[in-house]
Amino acid sequence: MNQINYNKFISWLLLRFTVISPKQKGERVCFDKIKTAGEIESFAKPFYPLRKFFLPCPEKLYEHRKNNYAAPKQKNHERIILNIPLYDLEALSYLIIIFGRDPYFQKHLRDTVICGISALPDENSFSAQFEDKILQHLKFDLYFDRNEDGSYRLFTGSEQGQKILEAFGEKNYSHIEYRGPLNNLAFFAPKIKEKIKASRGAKIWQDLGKKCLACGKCTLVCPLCYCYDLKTDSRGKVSREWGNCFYSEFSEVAGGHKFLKNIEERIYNWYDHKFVRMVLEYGFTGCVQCGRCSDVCPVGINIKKNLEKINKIS
Amino acid sequence: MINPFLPQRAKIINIYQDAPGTKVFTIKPRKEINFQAGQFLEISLPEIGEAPFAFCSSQYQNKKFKIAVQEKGGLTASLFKLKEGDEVAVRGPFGQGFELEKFSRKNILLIAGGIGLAPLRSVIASIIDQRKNYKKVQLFYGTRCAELRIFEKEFCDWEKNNIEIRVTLDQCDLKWHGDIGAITNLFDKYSIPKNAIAFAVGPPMMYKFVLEKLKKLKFKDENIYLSLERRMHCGIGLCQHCSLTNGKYVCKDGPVFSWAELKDLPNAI
Repeated sequence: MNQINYNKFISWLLLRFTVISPKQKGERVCFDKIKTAGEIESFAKPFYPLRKFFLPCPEKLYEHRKNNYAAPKQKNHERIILNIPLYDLEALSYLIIIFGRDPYFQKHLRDTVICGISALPDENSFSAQFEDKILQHLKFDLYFDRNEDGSYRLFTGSEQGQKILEAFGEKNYSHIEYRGPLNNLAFFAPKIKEKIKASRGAKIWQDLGKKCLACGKCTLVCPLCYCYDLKTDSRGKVSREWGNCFYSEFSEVAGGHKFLKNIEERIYNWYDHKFVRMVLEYGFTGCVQCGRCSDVCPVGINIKKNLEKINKIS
Repeated sequence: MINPFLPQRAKIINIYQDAPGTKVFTIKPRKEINFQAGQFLEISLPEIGEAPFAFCSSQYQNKKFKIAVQEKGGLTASLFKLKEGDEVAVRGPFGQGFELEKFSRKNILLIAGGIGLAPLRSVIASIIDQRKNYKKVQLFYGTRCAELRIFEKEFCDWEKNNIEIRVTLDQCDLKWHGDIGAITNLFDKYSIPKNAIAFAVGPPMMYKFVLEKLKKLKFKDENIYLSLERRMHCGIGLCQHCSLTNGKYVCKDGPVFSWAELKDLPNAI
């Protein structure tokens, strides 16, 4: 698809869908609704990941009113998210598995056409380079692989994606069948799980415990931070809200005891979830190497450097 | 798709004050809950929220169940204000309990610290319902003072069902003629049958000392079961509040674990 047809395609989509794409919002590039193709910022790393579209905060789960416990009826809204960088597509592919039995997540997913784009590397991202072989391990409807001349190679990953291209009049695409999640452990140092496990209590964690402010910014921008709280408001509405494992009350039980006692334990828990527990549970790590946590950390904690240090501890 | 967050309506059919600060509620859900001793459920009230509670009645009686509630503020304070006939919302059961069927024809040693007797009451009531299936059943129970003993009124009935009860108190009490001191003292004083299965529920500190005693008595790791407490929100192993370092979720893989499952997890107890 050449640049001219691409612009036509965006205009065609704008007539049929709510179109979401990375766009400039104040100082940041964020995924948001666009009205014209000109708003698209496809070359920048979106500041926030896609989480809010699939795990919105708050997500109303049910209401206690009238003692009738039912999930709210949600309207169907056809939306398409364009220009999803490879690492966000990878994260979404994992979330689809992790939230496989979550009716709210799955509803948002059914409402969304997922459209990826090959990303350009940046300083903090340590994401693997694009390879055709990776696409068969990602969940998407459409994928745009950018060529150097500005044209695109098109891939479809679902019947819905095919139907959209066909309806637009585009027949030049390859179809890719999903073959299960990526083995992203291969992108990290060998035995990273064992190394994180063995490193508990090591100096690196003591140092990080002193350096980290526990502000929780990293969890807000991480595409695979999905901790949540269930909250009930004064009118009996029960919602799911994003949790933050860096906050001291995260592990607090009745009576006040906290199982994650200090920042050292909480930052270790963050790595433990991503590189030990998720690997045990799902076979993939909870890091897609986007580098957003390093981008936002106010005290300069860098995940790539930390992983290198942990790898060196024998 | 089944929605794991939606509760069902349930009616409180009985409330009694058991010990100071502890009430026992009998609750009848609209749809019966097929639970296992040691499992838990989430109880919620509109405008207040949700909290996990252990079942404390027999697993063979599913139409209604009991929970023991200690007033600790928040939801428990609101539960304390409820009357018989009031409704609560419940969802569950969640997690893995004590697989009692696995231990028929065995000797059972129950070790309870404080409110930890509540989940073990579910084990005791279930054993009493099928008493012939088990050999010697012994309960070691440690609590702060005599008046804080929960289910004390039932001890007589338990003893009639051939359950040996040994209680030890932290505080000396003039009226008390029984044992005083840490629960571990009971291990030194009373004989424990060989090849018993141990079920312990209490605070982490109790586990550390009890495990030492059990290991001295040559209990195998897979014959020691502990129930862990953690903050819980979802009940389905997703929200991360109850995660154990290096693996497992208390709400989904526990709250009851064998020591074999826990011994390599730092911070579990």
